[in-house]
Amino acid sequence: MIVHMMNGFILRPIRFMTAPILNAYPASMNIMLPTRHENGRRFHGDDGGTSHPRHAFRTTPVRNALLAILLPLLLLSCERDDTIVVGAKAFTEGYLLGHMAAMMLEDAGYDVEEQFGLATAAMRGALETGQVDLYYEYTGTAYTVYAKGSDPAVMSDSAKVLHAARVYDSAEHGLVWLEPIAFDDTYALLMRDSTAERLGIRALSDLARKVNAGRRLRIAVDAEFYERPDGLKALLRHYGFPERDVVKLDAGLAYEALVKGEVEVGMGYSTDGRIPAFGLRVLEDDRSFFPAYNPAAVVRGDLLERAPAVRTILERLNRHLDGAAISALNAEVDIHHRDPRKVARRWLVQEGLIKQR
Amino acid sequence: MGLMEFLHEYDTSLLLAVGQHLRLVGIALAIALITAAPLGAWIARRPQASGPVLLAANLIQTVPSIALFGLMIPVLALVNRGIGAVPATIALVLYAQLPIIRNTYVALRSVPADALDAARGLGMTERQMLIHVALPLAAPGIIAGIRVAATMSIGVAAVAAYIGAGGLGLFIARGIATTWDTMTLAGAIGVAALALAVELILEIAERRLTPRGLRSSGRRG
Amino acid sequence: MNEALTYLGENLGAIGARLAEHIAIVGAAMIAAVPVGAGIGLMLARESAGRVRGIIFYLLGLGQTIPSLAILALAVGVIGIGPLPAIIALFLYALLPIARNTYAGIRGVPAATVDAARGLGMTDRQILRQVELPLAAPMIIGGIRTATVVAISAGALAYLIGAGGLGDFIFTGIALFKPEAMLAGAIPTALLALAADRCLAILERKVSQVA
Repeated sequence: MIVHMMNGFILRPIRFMTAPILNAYPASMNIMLPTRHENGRRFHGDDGGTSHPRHAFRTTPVRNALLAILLPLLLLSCERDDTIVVGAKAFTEGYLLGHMAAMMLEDAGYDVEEQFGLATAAMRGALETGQVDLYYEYTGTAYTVYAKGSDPAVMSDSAKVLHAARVYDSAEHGLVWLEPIAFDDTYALLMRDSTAERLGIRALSDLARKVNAGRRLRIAVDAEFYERPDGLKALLRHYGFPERDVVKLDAGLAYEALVKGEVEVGMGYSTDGRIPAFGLRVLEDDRSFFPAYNPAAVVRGDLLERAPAVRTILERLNRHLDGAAISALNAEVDIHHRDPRKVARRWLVQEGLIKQR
Repeated sequence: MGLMEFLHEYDTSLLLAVGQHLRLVGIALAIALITAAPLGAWIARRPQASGPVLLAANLIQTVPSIALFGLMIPVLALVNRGIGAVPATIALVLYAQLPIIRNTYVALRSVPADALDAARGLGMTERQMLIHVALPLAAPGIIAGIRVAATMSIGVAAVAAYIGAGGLGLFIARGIATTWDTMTLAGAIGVAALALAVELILEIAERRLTPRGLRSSGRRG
Repeated sequence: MNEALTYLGENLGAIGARLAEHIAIVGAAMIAAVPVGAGIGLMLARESAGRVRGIIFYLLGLGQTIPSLAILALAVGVIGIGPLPAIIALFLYALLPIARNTYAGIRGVPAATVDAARGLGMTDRQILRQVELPLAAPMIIGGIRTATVVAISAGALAYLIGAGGLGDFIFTGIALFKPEAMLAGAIPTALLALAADRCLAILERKVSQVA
């Protein structure tokens, strides 16, 4: 019962190409399924391999399977203890903040390793288990997704959200929230200005009304935003309209789809430079569904213990970065296609936060 | 952004990505070779075991790469190696098993019985037969298996970007996220170029390792 | 385990819907890829001689290394989001194994047999239909088998460009660290690939018995 998917792909071409050579050895043409063609003499064939006093290769499948799993683990696990592993979530702003943190720490003399490009939960999991030492997370995300809070009185107040997240993380996970940077990068539902004008939609409750009245409006979101407690499914419930035309895709494609008119509503982040550039508008969260989202470095307690200076170094960023600045940097990456690594470095040098190299 | 400008802007990131990609695939292939080649040899001697072994290897191939990478995360999170290079490497090692096992098996079983009889007649032990007769004759086939595994791994490793392992797949992923074809192409062409280079190197190795007696198309007495 | 089962129960409908989308995309791609791929393989088998043969074979194999992810990305850049770019991308991706195997299969038909058929007075068309294709059929079907399995696997990435499919669950699982979701996506995909592979294997065996 052998599934020889590779049979036609590899075996036969090989046989086909080596046929002239192998033709000299008739017995060797039996390159077939081992369950057939018991004729002819084969390499260590008919006696079932029992009469050999010494096996040249004393291996077993189980041992090999274990090797396959353990070796990479061992080989790739060597990392120096004094390295700081910096994480970053997989979107432009995440990369920018991650690069900034990594570069400032490197500039201060630390050995830094990057672990960038992960989705929220994977990144957070790595922080909790210690594979990553720090990354920039948003207060609102931590409150709703990790601490699973949903108190409206807390969510609308950035200081309270921070406090709740801080308390939860230090108690449950030994994680320390450094001072957040003073801008809000909230999830947003976007529409093209022209479309929104035409339909008279300014706020999310307008959207709800239109959909309930029967308008077919396609909404593009990614898998993460769809499922999150602060995401689409919950938003639909909060604003009271049904899920009808939802398209799920990679978050970055939502902007393009909006611009091209493939969808009417798309998810986005409020500090994304593409919003003003593409003529998009943020639908007002008039019923206060989204919490405050301030980015802050979340650092493992044990890192701060061995390197307390990390706090001072990273918090210097707060005096220089604001909503306008981050939007501009986002735009450089998303619209002008610059490398976030270089954008971050140029800006840090310009702000005097790291030395020019 | 023109090609030159692109290469200039992304020079650091490109080099890093290529390095990550090669490291991932290199380590994975080395480990896969250590585990799969002996397995192939083992089932060449025990044809009755070949069924389950090949089936298991084949089953792995049917799992979509993104799923295998994804599933490694929670499993490895238990030993605090959930994201990044480790789960990616393990998944790549698993994927590379089938081509190598299968080709080693086939190559060894196609070693002509006459040659082995001659060796036995000369008084060689099992081990000597393996090293001096079977392996040299099977070498081209085994290398062909490594070639397939290598080119396949280079392609599959692109998806590893989604679990934080970096590599050229990151360019493709960012190309999708920013709808910027230049970046996607950079990743895709990079992967194809890497695969081409590896293929060429392995083809030279295969040619070198083919025993002289088999190289010409003539037949032995 | 409990969470896994509750998740499964809650999402059975959605899993079914994604599975249907997945099959639809792969099916559409394969229906187009089989004739086109076989045609390309046939054309190439007729043309080239000697060195060119080797180079073409080589290039066909190399094209396979371009990750399906990249082809999906380029398709969405050209066409936009939705199932159509996914179908086109999978179609392109499936062409190679089919073309490659058709090429090898047709070339593997012994020249003596073709000459004999010509000697019997058969036309080229008759030779193709009654001699070459039947003899090459096992190999061609082998190529279709490979193509289908890789298309099903690549289809898991179609979620990224808004085409739906079982990748939806896989990516949700990764983004939210929910192994239940990953399994809800991975297991049906693997089963689908296995089923397709098995059916085509049986077909391949039947055809090679006839030949």
